[in-house]
Amino acid sequence: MQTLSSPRCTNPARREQSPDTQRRSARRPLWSRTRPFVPLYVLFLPVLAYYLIFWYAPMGGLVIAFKNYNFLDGIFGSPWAGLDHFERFLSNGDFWVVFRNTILLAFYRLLFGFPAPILFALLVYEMRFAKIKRFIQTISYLPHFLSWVVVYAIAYNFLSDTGFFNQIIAGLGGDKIAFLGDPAYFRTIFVGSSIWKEIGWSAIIYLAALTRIDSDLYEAAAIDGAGRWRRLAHVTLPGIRTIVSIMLLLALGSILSVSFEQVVVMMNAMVSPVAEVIDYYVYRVGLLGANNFSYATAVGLFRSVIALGIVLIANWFAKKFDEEGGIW
Amino acid sequence: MGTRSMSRKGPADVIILIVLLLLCATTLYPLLNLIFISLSDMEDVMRSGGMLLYPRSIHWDAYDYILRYAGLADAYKMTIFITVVGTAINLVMTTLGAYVLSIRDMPGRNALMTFVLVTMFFGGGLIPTYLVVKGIGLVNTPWALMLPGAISAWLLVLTRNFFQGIPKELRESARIDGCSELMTLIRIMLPLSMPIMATLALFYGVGHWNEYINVVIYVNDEKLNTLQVLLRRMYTSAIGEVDGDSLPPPVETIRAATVALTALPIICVYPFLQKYFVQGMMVGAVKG
Repeated sequence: MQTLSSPRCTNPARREQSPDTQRRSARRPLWSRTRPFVPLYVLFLPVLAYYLIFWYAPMGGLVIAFKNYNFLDGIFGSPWAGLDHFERFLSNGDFWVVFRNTILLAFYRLLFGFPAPILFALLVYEMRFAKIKRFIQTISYLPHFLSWVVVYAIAYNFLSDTGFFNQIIAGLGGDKIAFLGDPAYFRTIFVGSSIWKEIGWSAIIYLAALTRIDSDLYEAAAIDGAGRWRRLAHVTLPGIRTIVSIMLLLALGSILSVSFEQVVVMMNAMVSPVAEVIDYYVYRVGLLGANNFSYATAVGLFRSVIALGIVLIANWFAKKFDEEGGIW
Repeated sequence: MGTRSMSRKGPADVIILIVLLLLCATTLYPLLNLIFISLSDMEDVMRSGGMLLYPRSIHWDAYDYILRYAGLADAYKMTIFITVVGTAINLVMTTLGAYVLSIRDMPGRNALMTFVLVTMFFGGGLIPTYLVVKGIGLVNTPWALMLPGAISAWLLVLTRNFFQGIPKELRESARIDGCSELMTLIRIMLPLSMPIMATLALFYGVGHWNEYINVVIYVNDEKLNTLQVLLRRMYTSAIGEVDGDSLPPPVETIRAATVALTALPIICVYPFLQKYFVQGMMVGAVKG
């Protein structure tokens, strides 16, 4: 997206060809410059309408976080509440429980889920049986396209009362464990199933970076007598350093967005004390139960603003770290 | 990479191969196991400790039963409808946006691009979006599953990058020949854009086929359940009346059969589209 910031520089050829036209066009009134593009603007209208209705109107609707919204008075007519809702949830124990749940799930996901695809990509890259390699990659992308409900069905099949693990436990004479209904196992199952689903898919970006490493470097290293591990440490890993740092910052930036769908699918009354994350809390107090629209919107807004702040900080660091490192 | 030139394979290579094949097995086997269970007698399943390596005998009872369940037919109809119509809407909207934003010398391009990109980082969130969707009367209609997600900003950028890779002389000469913008897009750009269109169709199509969360949020009507919602519900409550008077097969095999019916269409189309999407992903990964 770098060209965005400098559209005039993207076409030096054109400028060289006709400096006169360029100079004249700068002085021409807006209408005559834009007129040839009117058909394009017309084509863009449906897209504009889509974003206004489904993205910008809800952003405007965030104002109800500062009001006591009710259906009768509507968004504009409802009375103002100032920061009441924010004070209410910040002093509410429930909120801090779901906040902690969100951070913990995100932390475990980062700790185990972030390195997993990198290791997988390195293994695939180091694999020398070229034909099997394609097969392995094809298989590894597949779970990404399965729904969370299907993943839940698979987990259930292994972890339920009659599932494989409990059959082994029963066979060894132990007591069966209700894995899917036990808060002690929820985080493990949550993070484990998301690694199972996304490991191959997330590895694509690292594999792409790996294939761009200059092969001369490996030959030079081999001539210098570097073995497999030293080539890994001194050529391969430095070669993907930039992409790893970008992906890490992206992951840090999305630390507050635990997959809402995955939570909804895996939720049940027994695990909800550890499974309820901020997004689910917003859903529960806003849509499921008492229709506390304003309160839920305030919680959601708080989350979005902090998440945006984290992304901006992460991007700032990425730029500091590496010229090319920023997301934009 | 240089190491490729050395064709001798050491023990380390064999270990890597084995580890990767094991990972493949952990990916494939859980799915296969469910398919085997769906085809089996529950006694066979229990005897093997839940881990069938192959179906010992083939029984179609579970499929026979679940296919007679009216709720499944409704869910299939609904899922196919939103997949076909929803993906068509996605393709038209994303292509229009991407085409217009791919034209570099259009005044206001940066502003429009920013207008789109902002939504990748900030939005109204669940409740305000729900109120808008409800306000325009989409709640409890299939449109609530298709219109709010009509464009993914990420896929729009991906498509725009692809269009920018097509020489602009093609577009300009079509315009000089008197093609309108829309005709230029349809006649000139689209025939050259099949890889990216296949990528879009795959991502959007799979998204609709797997539709679950928007039903949970926007729909409260049994008739509008998607396959995923039906399948998830089968794990918390029994399904309703089924035509015919036969004794129902064990619930495990019914669930497994429904998983197979839900996931198989994806597994079947996936190999055909596979060659496009990695390529498509890479176009988007390069900063344009």
